[in-house]
Amino acid sequence: MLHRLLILTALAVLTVFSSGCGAKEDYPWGVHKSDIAVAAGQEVGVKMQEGSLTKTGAEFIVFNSGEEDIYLGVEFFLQIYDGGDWCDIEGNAVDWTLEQMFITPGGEASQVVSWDNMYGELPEGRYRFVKSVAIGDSNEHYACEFEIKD
Amino acid sequence: MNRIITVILTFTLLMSVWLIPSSNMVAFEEATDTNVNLAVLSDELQELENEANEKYNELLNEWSENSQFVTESNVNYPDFYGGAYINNEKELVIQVTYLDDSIEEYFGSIINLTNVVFEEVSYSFNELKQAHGEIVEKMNPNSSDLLISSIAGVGISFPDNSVSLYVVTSDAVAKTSAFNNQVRDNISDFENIKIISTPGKDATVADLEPGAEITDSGYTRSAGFWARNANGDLGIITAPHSSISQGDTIWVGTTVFGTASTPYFSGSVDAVFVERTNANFSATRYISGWNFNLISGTYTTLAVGSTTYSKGKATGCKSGVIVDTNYTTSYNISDCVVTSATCDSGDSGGIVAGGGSSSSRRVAGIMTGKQGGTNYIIYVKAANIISTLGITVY
Repeated sequence: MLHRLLILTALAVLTVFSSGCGAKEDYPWGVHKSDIAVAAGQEVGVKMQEGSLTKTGAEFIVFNSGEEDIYLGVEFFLQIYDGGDWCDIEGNAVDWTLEQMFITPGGEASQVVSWDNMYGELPEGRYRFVKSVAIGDSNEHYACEFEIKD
Repeated sequence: MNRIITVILTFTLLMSVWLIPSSNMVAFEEATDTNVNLAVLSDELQELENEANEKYNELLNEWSENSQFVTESNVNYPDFYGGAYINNEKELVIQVTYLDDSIEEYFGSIINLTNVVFEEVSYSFNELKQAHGEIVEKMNPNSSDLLISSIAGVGISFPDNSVSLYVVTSDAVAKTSAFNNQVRDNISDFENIKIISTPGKDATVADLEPGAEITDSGYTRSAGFWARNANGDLGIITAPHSSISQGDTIWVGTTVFGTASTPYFSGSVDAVFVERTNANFSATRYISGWNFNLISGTYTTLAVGSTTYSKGKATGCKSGVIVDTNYTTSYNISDCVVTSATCDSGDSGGIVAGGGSSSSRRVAGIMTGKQGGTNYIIYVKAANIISTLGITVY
């Protein structure tokens, strides 16, 4: 009985240390594996304005090559790629103004963002900027990956 | 179509009084309320007008297919009848395509002919109605034919014994023979069409309620409350954030509502007065969904624990309880209030009300943001909006 208990405990410890999201890196914030599905982003998507990236912000462009108007607020969040998974970053909660952008087919809209209040300066790593977009009756998340280097 | 004819006939009959040049303006008394630009009939003329209308209705009754319920749409007009209107002397003018003793006797058998005059015209009312109806059938604002799409309205003018065609074009163009020929070739070959140039099409008058959706270039948000600026102009208050600039056009759907004045997005204010430039929108204090009216000329400062009643285009009607009255947002707007109703993108500028009663509440502020972590409404206080913008609550 004790032998089995020791084996189970060892297995549990191994599981904890071998999982992604915070297990191997020292981050200034907590992270956890995300269960948010991010859409492929072909007709609708997000791209970064070249040359705009800093450790505390960037300019992102949401484009709409689809056939319907799309709607989105100013809210966004970042995820970090860690241990083979995309992980939500447990940053500071911030307030958001409530205007809603709309982008007609063929259009695009840019948003200059600063995440300093939310996450501070980002440490080295692979990240993505995520936006929630409403198309018709559905909501999808679209993302743009970027890398921060020391 | 019959209802359209009814409305047009009634309107034309009543308005025909104003089409005839008057030499007896002393019969009108100016309204005593200087804010109202109306002339009021003298008692004597009002009585004459009432009598003329009674005779008109007696004629309609006589010709009606259903005497229990007379409308101008269920009337069988005689072929010699051209129309009727009340002239400036408040006589009933009956138009006929020919006039002889038998015609006068016919009408005399229906109504008292005191203060009734007869006028010979070229076209019967049935002929005018037919031409009118044919044009109505062609009206199509989305037509690829530019002329058809520019038809703003069709009416019948009894004094002119004509069909009135309202077209969106300049006065100069409307008077040209080329334009008249175009109308004849493409719209109607009726011989007596009066072309009237107009700057715009008929538009319904609509209320813009607090909480309703408004748009500017690339953004949607919500209307807050109606107000007057220092000049007495009407407009609505909304939250500009950094996305509305002075002079920006604000829309309701595809219709221009007005123009943004100086926006404020600093200190304790996130608000802009949007002056109404389209008089087709009427001011209202009523908020549907809540079924209450905002109380005019006043606002309220609510304490923690008070109930708020908000409305925005994204989340609709929400009630909440105030949890903080001294909140500074993470985007640096101070002296805000947080209330426990949730909100979402698009609710910017939406109304927050409180106090009063279930049928009448006071303006408390307008929505500016969503609190991180709770999604609670953050609103800017009405007192700060009013003092900074120099407005009064409508």
